[in-house]
Amino acid sequence: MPSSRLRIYLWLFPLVVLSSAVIGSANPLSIIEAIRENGGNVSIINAKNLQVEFHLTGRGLDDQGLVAVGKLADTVTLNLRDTQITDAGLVHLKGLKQLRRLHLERTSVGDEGIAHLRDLHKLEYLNLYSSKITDKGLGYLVELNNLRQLFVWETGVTVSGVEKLQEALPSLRIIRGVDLDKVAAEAATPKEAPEPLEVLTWMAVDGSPLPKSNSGDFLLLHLENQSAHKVKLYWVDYGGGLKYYADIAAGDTREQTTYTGATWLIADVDDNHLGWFRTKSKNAKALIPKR
Amino acid sequence: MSMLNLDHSRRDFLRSGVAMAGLSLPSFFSMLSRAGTVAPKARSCIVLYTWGGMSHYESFDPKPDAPSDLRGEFKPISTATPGIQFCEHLPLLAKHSEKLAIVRSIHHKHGGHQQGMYVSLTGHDPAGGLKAKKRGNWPSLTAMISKFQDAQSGTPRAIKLPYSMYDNGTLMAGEYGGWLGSKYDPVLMKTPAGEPFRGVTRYTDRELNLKLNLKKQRISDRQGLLEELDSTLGQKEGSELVYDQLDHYRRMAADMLLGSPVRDAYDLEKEDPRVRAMYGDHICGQSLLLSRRLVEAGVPVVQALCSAGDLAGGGGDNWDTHRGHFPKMKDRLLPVFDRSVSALLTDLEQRGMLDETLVVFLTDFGRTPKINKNGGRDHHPGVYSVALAGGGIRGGQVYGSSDSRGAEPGSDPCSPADFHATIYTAMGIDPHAELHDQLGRPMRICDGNPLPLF
Repeated sequence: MPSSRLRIYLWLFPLVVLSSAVIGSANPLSIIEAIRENGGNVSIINAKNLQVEFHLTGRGLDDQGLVAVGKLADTVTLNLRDTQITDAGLVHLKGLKQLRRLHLERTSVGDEGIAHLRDLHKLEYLNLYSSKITDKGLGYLVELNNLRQLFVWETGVTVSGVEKLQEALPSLRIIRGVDLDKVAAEAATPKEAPEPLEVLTWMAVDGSPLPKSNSGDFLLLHLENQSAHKVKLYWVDYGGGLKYYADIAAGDTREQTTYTGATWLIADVDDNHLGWFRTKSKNAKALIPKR
Repeated sequence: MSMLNLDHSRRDFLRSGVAMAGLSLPSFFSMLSRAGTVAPKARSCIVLYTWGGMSHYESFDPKPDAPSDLRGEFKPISTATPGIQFCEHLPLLAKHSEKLAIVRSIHHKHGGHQQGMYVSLTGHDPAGGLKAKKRGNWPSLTAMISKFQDAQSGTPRAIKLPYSMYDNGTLMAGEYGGWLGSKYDPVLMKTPAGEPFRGVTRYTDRELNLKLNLKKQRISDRQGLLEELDSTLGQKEGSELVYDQLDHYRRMAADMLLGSPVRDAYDLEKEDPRVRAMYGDHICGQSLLLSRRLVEAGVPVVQALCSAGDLAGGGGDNWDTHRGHFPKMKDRLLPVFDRSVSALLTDLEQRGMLDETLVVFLTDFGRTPKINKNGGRDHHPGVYSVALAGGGIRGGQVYGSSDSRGAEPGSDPCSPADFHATIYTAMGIDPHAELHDQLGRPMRICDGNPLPLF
């Protein structure tokens, strides 16, 4: 695609001008090309600042790929979330002194890698959730006075490690997140037993007209066929007509969605009307009696 | 195509779509410095919509000192922010007040669901009769944001979960791409897990449903997949819905099935079961969990409906509580909302995503001060509450107030357009920018002014 290629080089031209001052003799085109070959995106935040991201398109990035990243000294935001980097690769970030925001979450980075970050004094945001950091790694961060947000959910850090860092950096927010085991335990606790359902009165058919249903609020009707015969379930509609819904086998149950003030008729398989239920204001049970 | 990565850069001037080739170097640098001053914090947006009209009294604006026939049955509770109270049935959300900017003085003039929803989701007053999917309609907030956000190839720009909005079987206008064109219609996805809201009707079930069939992973060739989709779509021919641009959906569905980021995000089985439990085993919670996963996968905007899809005359679990308001709020609506939304805010925060993700709370309108004879509250656009969290918004604040009865704005009245302008600003979009509709007419995207919530 020649036109795309041309367009890219036109895009890159200002980047060349922009970055050559800081990169010195290194060829910025080849650096950016190397980053892009690993799936990274380089974008310009303003005349001085670059943003480099791999998290959506460059998940295969490994330590070798960080060599090029370490050469873009104007980078202020670097997102390495979900990549394959390890502790050894972080040595290449040592020179990124302008870094303010660094994403290392969900990587295998641990304390030895974090040691390479200790001179990145402009860091304001450091995301290490679901990494391998422990209290030892927190110890390497104590001199990062500009750090304002640190994410350590699902890592090996302890309360005492966090407290120690908090003491050294009082204006830092350390986000430890929820204790998932506790969340799971709470979710597993049996819920309060629901109120026992009211049992609706069985109205045996006596030849008088069936009450029509009204439109009302939503509720659930739990039907149980306690008889030894299959029955048919009809809804008595707003005009008094019958609408067939289901068969309920002997001994079977059915959860029927309905509304307040609705009439449900039970008939035998030959459509002889047996009896009916009228819903009230709450979810209820309807027991179809033995014959 | 890997040469094009720079085209997918997301920020500022790159987003503006100006052809660089035509610019001289000095103008390039002046543009850079201007771009630098915008510095939006939010990159993604999750819109939580409480369909039917959520009562402000029983959520973010309790009125404990109002007369008993107005204040209702519930008490207020303290939140984590001194001086801010919520309804007692939002105990989990109350702990997140430091993340929330509550707007208590928003109001508009439209007392019908369709009109209220339209002005709330588009930021523009409805003109004339509204009909869903009319291309002259204003684009929804989600469509408009997605217009300014690049998504990766194969990733939809905007997704909505888990239903479209209906009122008694009529599909509502206001949550589509409008004059931006059908490719900006948010893609509907049905959340794969969770107990559904009660009162889901046949209308919402009938929709074209881009439910991804994960069991079909072996389908790896695009043509085979498209044929599969065609046969599914063919079965929907009796549907009253007209999908004017099926090709767009087919391509999108195919790309989503074959492209792993969204497919992986959709598979909630891949999530830690403890995290799933935190959101609650309800379609609302699982939709918000899916929203987070989609945003992580690079989808710029997700809208989640925190309600059944069809109002169905007030039956079912939606916020249109004309009768039995208090039991329905306490037993069905508020507990699910409280748990799900709190889990979302917790989860976004602990993953370090909250400052880049704007969470928007929207609804049609509030509910009347007076409790009617059926124990319900009716439609009330005169004043109600909405909220924002994350995305550079300063939490722990309330903007404006309603009067002592909760009937009208008490101070700092504002409009849906002002709220939209705030959202656009948070997303780095100039709310007064002009776009052109499909006839080439210039359209100012928003007529409001941003509220000082940053």
